Amino acid sequence: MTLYEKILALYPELIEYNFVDGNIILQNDSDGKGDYIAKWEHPTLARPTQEQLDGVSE
Amino acid sequence: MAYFGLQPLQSTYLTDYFSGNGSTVAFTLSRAPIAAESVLVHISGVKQHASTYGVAGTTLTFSAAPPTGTNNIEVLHLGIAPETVTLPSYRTVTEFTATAGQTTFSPASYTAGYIDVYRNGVKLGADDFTATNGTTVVLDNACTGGDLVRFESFLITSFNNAIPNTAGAVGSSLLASGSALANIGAGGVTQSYIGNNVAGTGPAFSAYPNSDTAINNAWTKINYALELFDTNSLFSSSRFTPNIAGYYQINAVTLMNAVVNQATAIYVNGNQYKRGTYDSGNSSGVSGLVYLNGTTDYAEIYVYVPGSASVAGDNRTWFDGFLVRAA
Repeated sequence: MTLYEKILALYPELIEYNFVDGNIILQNDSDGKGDYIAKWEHPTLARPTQEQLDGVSE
Repeated sequence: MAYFGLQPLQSTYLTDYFSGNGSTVAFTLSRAPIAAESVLVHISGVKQHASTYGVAGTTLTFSAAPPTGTNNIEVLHLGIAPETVTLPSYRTVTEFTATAGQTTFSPASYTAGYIDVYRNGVKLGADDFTATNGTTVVLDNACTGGDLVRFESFLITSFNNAIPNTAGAVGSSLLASGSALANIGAGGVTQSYIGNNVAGTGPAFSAYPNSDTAINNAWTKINYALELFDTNSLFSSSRFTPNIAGYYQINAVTLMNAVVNQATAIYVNGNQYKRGTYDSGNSSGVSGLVYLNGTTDYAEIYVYVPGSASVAGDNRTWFDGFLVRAA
């Protein structure tokens, strides 16, 4: 399950636009460390904690 | 034919005309003669003897005021002193009256090998004295009290401030401080002395990948393993880290292996800086100006796809940039 899918599971109201217009940036530096949240500036939804992300079931 | 200083030009003799009024004795010449004998002076057509006037700089002064007349004073310059060339004195004479037993003298500073020594009017041979340090001269034989010892030292250069008209190096001492020429060094002309319409030799690079890059709902850095060119070897590990602070034009085009929504963005120091259009298609691009500090700042390219896709790993995907203007 990708980071993007986990976030969508937590916040189903998010749409594609949120990840493109810049207030949420998921990033992968192609260094083998995988995806991470580089920026979270959503006006209403809080940045998910690692605990929340880890709790999302496959 | 080579010349020192200004190349001589053929022309008519320079002539100044003045109108006498019976009282004025001083007139200002257009050029400063070297001496009174360097000009021919006529008053009302009669040549004047050089003893009847004098020159000091550009001022011509008569011992008696010329009579009234329109342009009745004619001054013909027989030569014009070269401009922009400093004419140094060639010989420096220093005289001493020796004390009894004196052997060491301190004449004006000299260049070893370019000094003559006279004792009571008789020139000494090179073996009769030692003059090597530029400041003192030691006679082999002690003087008798009252001996007149004379030193004549000679300048070994003929012109100062003249650029040699032959191939070779021009020393910085011949160039005015702060001039553009003075700023040409081993490293080339500094950026501040390049004309506004002249491109410099700032960094430029172009690179492309050699393998596909998988994208899956995250801005993903593209690895550009191959270089088309990299003028200053500043592109490494898929990032451009220039060593000159300034404004850089950064361009990138990404070709996807499928038709998908996508965007390509310029990243600076790991953060998204400028994003290209977000649209559906098989390619996207970005182009923009970026300031990089010339030390730690670096630029990279990231691509976003809202789903799963891959970037073509060949020269249809590329990343290039160059210095537009130094800071």
